[in-house]
Amino acid sequence: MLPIRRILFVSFTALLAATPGSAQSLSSTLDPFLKKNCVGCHNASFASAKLDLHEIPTGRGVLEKLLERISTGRMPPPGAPMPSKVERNLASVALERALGIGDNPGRVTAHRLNRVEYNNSVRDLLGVSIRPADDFPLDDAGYGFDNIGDVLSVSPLLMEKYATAARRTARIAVYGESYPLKPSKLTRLLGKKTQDDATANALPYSIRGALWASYNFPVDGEYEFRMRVANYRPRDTAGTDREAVRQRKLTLKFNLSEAEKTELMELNRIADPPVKMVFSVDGKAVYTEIVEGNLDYQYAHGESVARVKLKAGEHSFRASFPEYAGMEKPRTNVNLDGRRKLFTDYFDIVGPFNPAPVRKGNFICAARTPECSQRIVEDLARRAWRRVPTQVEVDELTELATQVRKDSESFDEGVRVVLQAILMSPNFLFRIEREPDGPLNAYSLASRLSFFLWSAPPDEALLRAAARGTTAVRAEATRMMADAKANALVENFAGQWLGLRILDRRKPDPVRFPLVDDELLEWMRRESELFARAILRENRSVLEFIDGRFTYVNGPLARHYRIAGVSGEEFQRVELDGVQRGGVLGQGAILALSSYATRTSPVIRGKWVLENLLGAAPPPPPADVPALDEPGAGTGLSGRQLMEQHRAKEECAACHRSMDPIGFALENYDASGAWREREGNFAVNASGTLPGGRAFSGPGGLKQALLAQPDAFVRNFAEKMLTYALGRGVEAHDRQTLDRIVERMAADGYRFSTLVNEIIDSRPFRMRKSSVAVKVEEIHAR
Amino acid sequence: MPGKSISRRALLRGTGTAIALPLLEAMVPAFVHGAGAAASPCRMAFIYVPNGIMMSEWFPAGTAAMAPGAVALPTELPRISRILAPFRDDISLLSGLTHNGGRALGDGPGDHGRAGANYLTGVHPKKTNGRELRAGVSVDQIAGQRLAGKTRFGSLELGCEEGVQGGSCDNGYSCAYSNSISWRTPSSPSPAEIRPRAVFERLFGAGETDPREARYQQSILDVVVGQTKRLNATLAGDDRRKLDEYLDSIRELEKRIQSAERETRPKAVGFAVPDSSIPTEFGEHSRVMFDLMTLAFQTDSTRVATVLLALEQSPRAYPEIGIPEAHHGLTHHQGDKEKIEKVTQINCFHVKQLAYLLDKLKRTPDGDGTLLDHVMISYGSGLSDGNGHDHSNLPVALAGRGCGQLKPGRLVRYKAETPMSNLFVSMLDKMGVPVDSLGDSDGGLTGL
Repeated sequence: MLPIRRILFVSFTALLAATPGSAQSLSSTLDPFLKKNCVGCHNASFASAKLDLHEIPTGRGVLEKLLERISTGRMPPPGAPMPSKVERNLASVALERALGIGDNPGRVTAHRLNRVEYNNSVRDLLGVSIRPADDFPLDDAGYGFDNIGDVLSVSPLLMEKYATAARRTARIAVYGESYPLKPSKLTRLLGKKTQDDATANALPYSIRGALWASYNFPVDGEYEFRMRVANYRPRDTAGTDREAVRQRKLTLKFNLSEAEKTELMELNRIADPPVKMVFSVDGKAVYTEIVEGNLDYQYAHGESVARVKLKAGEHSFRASFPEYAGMEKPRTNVNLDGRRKLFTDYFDIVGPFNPAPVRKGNFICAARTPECSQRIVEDLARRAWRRVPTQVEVDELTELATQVRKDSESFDEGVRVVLQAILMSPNFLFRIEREPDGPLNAYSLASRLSFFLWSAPPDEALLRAAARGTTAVRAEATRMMADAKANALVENFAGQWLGLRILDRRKPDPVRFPLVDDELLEWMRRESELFARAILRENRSVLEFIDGRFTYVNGPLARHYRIAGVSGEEFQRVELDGVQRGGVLGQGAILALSSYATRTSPVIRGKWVLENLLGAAPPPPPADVPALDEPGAGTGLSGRQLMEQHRAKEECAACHRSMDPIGFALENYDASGAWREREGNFAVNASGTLPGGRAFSGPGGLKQALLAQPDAFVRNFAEKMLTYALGRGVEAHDRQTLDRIVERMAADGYRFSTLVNEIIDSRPFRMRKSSVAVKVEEIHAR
Repeated sequence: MPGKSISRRALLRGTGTAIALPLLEAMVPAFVHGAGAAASPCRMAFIYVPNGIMMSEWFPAGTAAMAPGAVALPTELPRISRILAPFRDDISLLSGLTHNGGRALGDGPGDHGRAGANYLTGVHPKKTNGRELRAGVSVDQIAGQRLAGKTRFGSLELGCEEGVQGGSCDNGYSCAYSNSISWRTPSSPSPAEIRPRAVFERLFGAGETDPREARYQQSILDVVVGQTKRLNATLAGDDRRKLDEYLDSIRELEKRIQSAERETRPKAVGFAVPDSSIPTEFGEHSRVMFDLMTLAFQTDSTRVATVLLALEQSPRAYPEIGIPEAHHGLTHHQGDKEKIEKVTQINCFHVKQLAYLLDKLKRTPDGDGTLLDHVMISYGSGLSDGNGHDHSNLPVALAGRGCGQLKPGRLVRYKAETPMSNLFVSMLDKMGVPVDSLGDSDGGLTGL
């Protein structure tokens, strides 16, 4: 290890040192390049972007910008002659050398665990089911992700929460989770009553009357789910003669004879045929029953009780009427007052019955001896801190355990307090890389790997490999990607990249889109997650994010998309022709989250595509230009016409020219992601041109245009994933890494695993630079 | 079976039922610190509303034409400030104050993002969507840090809208800038707590009362502080900054534990434990937050508080007053009368909550008077006209008597472009924690 480090150190030093004659090489390469390609606009009289490139600029920032524009081909702008790739490369390399960033792996700031990582750490370390970080303040995000070391900070409030979380977690780990001695009602979970009910803590709304939730169960045991079906069905059935009889009898129901009662029951059955209610836990049906129309129309059915044996931890459950998934017009389940005719009203969770002994004190040894105490301390510290603790650290903790043991006359208390200290330690709360410039040590690398792929700390296998000092990184990564924990990459990376986490805040207007309920939105999100997961699990080409010819839908979502042949609540994979659906741009979640509640916005959609798919965020609108938030009422203009009016203004046109045409191509999707040929009184006009001048029409045309230059998408996708993998923003010095990744991916059909492997093998991932960047003054000395 | 050491509280929590703490018979008077000190301490609070205010309905007619100086608050007040008429002797309206740091100053659009972080810091925030956040230390945090040790909490940061988790919230300005008005250091915001139950437990509940537990806690902190120092010796640059932040927060926690040992924790008497869920309705949510703030002042748990009623660019709708549209969207009314009316109604609704607070403070005995006598409350927004993103002539109401140091009941006109930060300099002065300057201040304010 040492010699390698030495060599690398030398090479860094060589780079950092001013090499005589290299000033020559910057100007000799860059000057002609600038003269030929740039000074036409960036000169003293024109000074586009306030930049005169007759002289090589002096500021580090300007040089970095130059490097970025030249190397990515964003400058010269479309329309101007583009220098060859070789020319651009030469200029870029000269700039990189001048900036001293040629092979700088960059550095990642000590990285505080975010909420997901904290919860996963506690889970993996102690096997407890609590999620203490759910109470922590929101993590700040940078570059679109919530795992950026630079941005994640610690506040006194967070520290208080850390203390509380450590205390609670340590108690549970040592003494077991607490739960009521006698089975009791643990919680009542209520659903929203109407579609636009804003109740913050109620469960999501389903037109079809379903109710679903998840709950963290404290201990292995049996639990009862008591749910009540609310049944208002017969109320507004059309007035047939039979109905009239039924209604009349209803008013007399207290005086009915047995025969009349039977007759009435029969009438009810005819008015509203029995429906099956299914209750499932973790996707498995555990209880079904038939719900008939009934005499009292309301809660006469009483509570339904399902008793289920569960392991401690989080489980999801759902009560629904699966036949309703096939309803042609689901609004028929909604009464005029906005309430549903048939729905599950609440869940009461009662338990635990026959609880298993709690898992507690699950430590490496059980003897109540000082030796065992020390072993426990060492083992916990090693796994919690993701490295071998030093002797000083072990001694210190062992001493704490001894003191507490004496003070409290309890061995367990000693372990409990030490565990609390381990969880409060900066070694647990932060991922700190302390090695000098050069390759990461095996433990740091193991942590990077596991937090990247799992959002969780290294497991025992990875730690053992790190202890041997020879991590077979590729093999480990392959093993880890196959693990269920790798779904974290879909949830956390893909979820944030696509923006799925903000879908809740972009709910389509319930009046305009009466069929889009919380449940359909959740299904849309699920579609996008399943789709991303398939690309990861099946190692497909990342270009399928643009034009994958498959997706996942269930009955109601298929109906929303007008895909035939799918029924029921279960999701199934369907093959697509790519005309209306296929790729993320045809997915309801993406289309809804890039719209206003009541209408589409070609600007937002265009910006979404530029930012999220192409990594080319347009500059923000100039000051004092009001956003075109809502179409003026009664102007007699279509949304597109309004937009074009707006674009006619010169100050708006420059950027909107790049955003809007992209958005217009998606105008066949309304704000809820449904396909449309008309928008109100206007036929949808989904034609446009890309900044390069390429004309296209509709989503298919847009996708073709995107696929025609796959590198733009792939590079951006790689950049986003590199950001997420490293927990830092991608900098100018990462250019070569990205070039290489894109090259490798192109050679391998853009496979997902190639991207992951190339990132894991990359210099920024494997190495670190600990010292600060080269000073500006030094640049021109080169 | 659960072990014997499970506390009753833990057991109750395990059941998921609400915990009702016992109510005691008498209201605990505000604590008086320091031997023989009879005077009530002075408190300060900063209340923020986003997206500007309909200015034509805020300042009395003719204010703009006034020469600098103060007059008695006119009898005729426009719609929004009229809501405060019952408190006309307890408030002043300040006009002419500007937050220059909220303006573009060459950084282009992003007025909402700047307005939030600039408001209490007076500093023009650095434009970034992630790395290297930089604003300033906010007035409440300065006061809280300087008063540390006098009360259990230096300051309380409360809010009614959950922060936005995302990179850039406003044209390249990090969401952190609009998520917090309180900034502990120029690079670390102090996020607001929006869950009433969590605020309550922080003030009065949870935590350890067992002296043995407090000792263990102290030993734990000793160990981790030692670890951090050893770590820090090997770190530099940003890593070190992160660990310093950690260390500062540990010290805060330490102080809190020590002061908890010294004194008995006050009881929240006659105050129902807030529900564990967040109230859906804005009015209810803000009122319970104001109740908690009042309680914190009353028990002298803290003397400084901020309340972020909603975030800059808040998309909140107010269905409870018949406004289903997003607040921010409405404020870009472009002259549309209907939208202007709705914005005015939202502004009024916010001010009604302030009136609720003032009423509550006025009815709460404190020392030789009421709490309202012993507070200084600034209420306002970092924008005046939300439609045009104007940072000048901000809407400001200053309420309370500040322990006899404020003379409310007036309309005060300052010369145009007077820094808003000057108000904060004066408030700190009156709190007994003077500073030379804050943000872009160029002095203090006279005529308060």
